[in-house]
Amino acid sequence: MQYVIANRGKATMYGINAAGHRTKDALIVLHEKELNVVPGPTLADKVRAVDGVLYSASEIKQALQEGGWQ
Amino acid sequence: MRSNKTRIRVDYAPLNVAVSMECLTPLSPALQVYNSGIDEFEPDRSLTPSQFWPMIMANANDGSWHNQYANSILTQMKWYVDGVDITTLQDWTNLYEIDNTAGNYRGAITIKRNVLPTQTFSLHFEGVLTDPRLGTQITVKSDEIILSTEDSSEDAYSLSIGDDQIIQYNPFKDKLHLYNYKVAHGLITATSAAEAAATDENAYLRQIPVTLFKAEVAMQSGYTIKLFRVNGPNSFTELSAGSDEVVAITPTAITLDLRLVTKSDYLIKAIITDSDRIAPQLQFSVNRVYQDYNCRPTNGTGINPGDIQRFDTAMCDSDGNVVECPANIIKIVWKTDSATITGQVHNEGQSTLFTIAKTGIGNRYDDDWLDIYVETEIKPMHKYAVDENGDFFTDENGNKFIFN
Repeated sequence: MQYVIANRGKATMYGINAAGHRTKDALIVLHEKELNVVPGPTLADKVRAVDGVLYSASEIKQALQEGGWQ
Repeated sequence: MRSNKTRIRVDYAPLNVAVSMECLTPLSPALQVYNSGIDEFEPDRSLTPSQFWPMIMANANDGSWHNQYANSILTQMKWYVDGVDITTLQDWTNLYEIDNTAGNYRGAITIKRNVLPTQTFSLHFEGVLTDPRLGTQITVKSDEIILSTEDSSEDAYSLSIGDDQIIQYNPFKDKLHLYNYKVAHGLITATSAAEAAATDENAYLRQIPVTLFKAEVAMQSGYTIKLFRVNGPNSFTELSAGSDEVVAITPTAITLDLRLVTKSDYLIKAIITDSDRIAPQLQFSVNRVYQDYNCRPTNGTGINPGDIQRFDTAMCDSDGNVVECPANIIKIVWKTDSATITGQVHNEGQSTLFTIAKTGIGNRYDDDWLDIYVETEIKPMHKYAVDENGDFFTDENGNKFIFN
């Protein structure tokens, strides 16, 4: 499963409920299935639509170690 | 002068409270999936937690309660894991958060803990609603939610057979059956080369390759195969090698003698050695095909006055081809009609040799005729030859005889 660090405002604009998610400032962590509601033919397109960056599980764990994540 | 005071109160209706549990993260639900092949939880709650909200609805029949969504006034909120206050459980430290804000989601729990496939946790919420109208406190308790995890790698075990799931046996195409018939009737000499050549995909001896996959990898060991006959929706009979139509059962193949089957459904189950829980299974069926054919006598010559016996042989064709040794698969019964005897039965087989006098044929113009014909049907499945006690008839090597 892949994960995305996305723009929180963009994500909520597409109907993703931010409740329960890990956040930092304007960023939010989502998993790939949560992007199903975002329009786009591919996962990469959906990620772009929420100003996101795609990570593997191990990569995002490293990224979140930077701190500041709720 | 002031009178005595009489205190009166507003008579409020009691509060009706309902609690329902809602998962605020439906794509990170209570049931996780664990893929042991890559050692990952999907989703991983440390990255995308699950959040559950005990939604408290309150109202009074007299309309005096205005805070219908009552989470914001909850007090003494506690979450319990298997009946124990979560705050007292060391192994849950830092793996959950309870919403203490004054908002609508007050009391919601965010769970960051991944649950192993071997674990199950039952969580419920308790809190207190204070009703200032009546000066009472109401304890609310939610239903339980069960946190559990499915091991996708184990569930990814799958069985596959290297054959159609509906196997059709057509005796007309069975060269091995024909080979056996010819050998048994002395028409040819048995050779292993000829037998091997006759053993193709249409042969009655059907080896069905079985493969157990774990994810996409074919397993080579660590499991056994069991075969069951499906008798009904929940009724199965285990079959073993050597019984009924089952010739052999190995971890990689099941061999059936299709001559002994008209129609049957089977269930293959893989029993994995280090797991009692998982039994991947697969169903398949075997059907006998009844192919169209034509069969007719071939001797068109007349009867000479001195003839005593009459010989005839049947010709059968099917699907545009002459059927070789048709008595192998078709029951052919020879019959005659004459002016005096109708339906005189002579013998069964591809050819006939009968005494003409037996037919009732006459010697005058209006009765010196004979209709010769065959009545045919495709032979049914074979059965084991048993005596009245159910004991099998066998050859000198213990091979059971079958017949049809």
